[in-house]
Amino acid sequence: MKRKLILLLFFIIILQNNVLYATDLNIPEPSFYFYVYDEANLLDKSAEDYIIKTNEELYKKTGAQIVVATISSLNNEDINLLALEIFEKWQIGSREYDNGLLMLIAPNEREIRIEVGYGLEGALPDSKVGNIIENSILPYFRENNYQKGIISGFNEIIQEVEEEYGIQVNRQDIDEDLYYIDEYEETNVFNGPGKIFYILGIIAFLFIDFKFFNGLLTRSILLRSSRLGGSPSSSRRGNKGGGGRSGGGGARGRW
Amino acid sequence: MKGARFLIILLVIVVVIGGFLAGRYNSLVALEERVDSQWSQVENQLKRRADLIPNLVETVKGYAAHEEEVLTQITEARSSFNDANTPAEYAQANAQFERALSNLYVVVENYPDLKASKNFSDLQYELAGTENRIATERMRYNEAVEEFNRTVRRFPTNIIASIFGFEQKQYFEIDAEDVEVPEVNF
Repeated sequence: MKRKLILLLFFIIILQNNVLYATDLNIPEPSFYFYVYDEANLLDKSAEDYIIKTNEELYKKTGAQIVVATISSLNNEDINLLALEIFEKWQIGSREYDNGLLMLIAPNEREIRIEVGYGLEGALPDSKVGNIIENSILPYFRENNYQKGIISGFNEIIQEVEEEYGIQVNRQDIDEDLYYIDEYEETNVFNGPGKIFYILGIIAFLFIDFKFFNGLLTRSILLRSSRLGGSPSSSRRGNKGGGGRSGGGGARGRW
Repeated sequence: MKGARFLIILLVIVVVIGGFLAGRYNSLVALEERVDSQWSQVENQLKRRADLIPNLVETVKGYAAHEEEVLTQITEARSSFNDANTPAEYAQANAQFERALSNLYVVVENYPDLKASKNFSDLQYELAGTENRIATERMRYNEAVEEFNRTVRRFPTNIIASIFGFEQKQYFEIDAEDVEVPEVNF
């Protein structure tokens, strides 16, 4: 009885810790295809496809990730801070080179922030980013042509990244059949060198749970995840962040 | 025979406690390391901004040479950056620079040519970007300090901390004067 109680306490502590880390107020989850998050509905399907496709090729060649996010409200938060928090949560860019970039647009507050990861600060210093916003993006935004502004800024950024890495991303003929095909599967937890520990851990957990608690914990976890909507079916493939960080570099603009 | 068993039990207890202490000690060392490396990030960004100052002064001079007062303020802020060593000193230099900069922006309004120049607008972007980097690294530094200080204060780590001389770290508070709460006497 005592042993059961101790074990139960142990699991409660673990579960609570997980819950604490999982709650992230107001920071949206990345979209399934990762490179476009269009909450404010500023982009049509072809523009989204273009951004995703270009990024998938860029990521394969350089590990760089250029994410476009639009949000319907800043909720009174400073756009710089929000961009940083999204960047941290989504982990844009590769872990080795921190070469991510986030273009965050809040059309209702008429603000834009481009947050540059550590690894792209050389290719895109703040003044260059500021000029891209002022000269390539805001003129379109002022005419309410958001899509054109976003794509124009995106292209400028891609061009700088291409120059930095001495590569060329094929942007002219996008192969429709290649859309969304990527080696990153949804169930990535079970890939990589740590998978044996995950599996052993889960087996141990199930063993203890069913031996001492008749599977109570397992059932409650399943219930919890199904209440949260569960994950998309594992046959679809998406993208995810590479583990990159940023340190507050970049520029912001208003229109 | 009985003595040997007693020794073994004693040994086990010593090893367990020793392992526990070593673990706590190591985690303190790791946390302190994080604070220090994060502080050097803050310092880097502060230096980076100080390095922008000569360029800024030159640019403003080109259009508004006789605004000596503002220019002197900015140059002085730079030298206090160079003299600063502790987080508190840096915070003071930072506040000084921010005051000088806001005075400069007031003056700039009288010089449309300066305002419109590419050089000045680029510098503004660089300054704003550096400002934001400082804020970012400062936030991360303070988070690291908070975690370290919490661990140092908490039982039983506080015993290990006092044995090995771990002391609480200073936060980096921007504009110390503003943060200071005035004393009220009844």
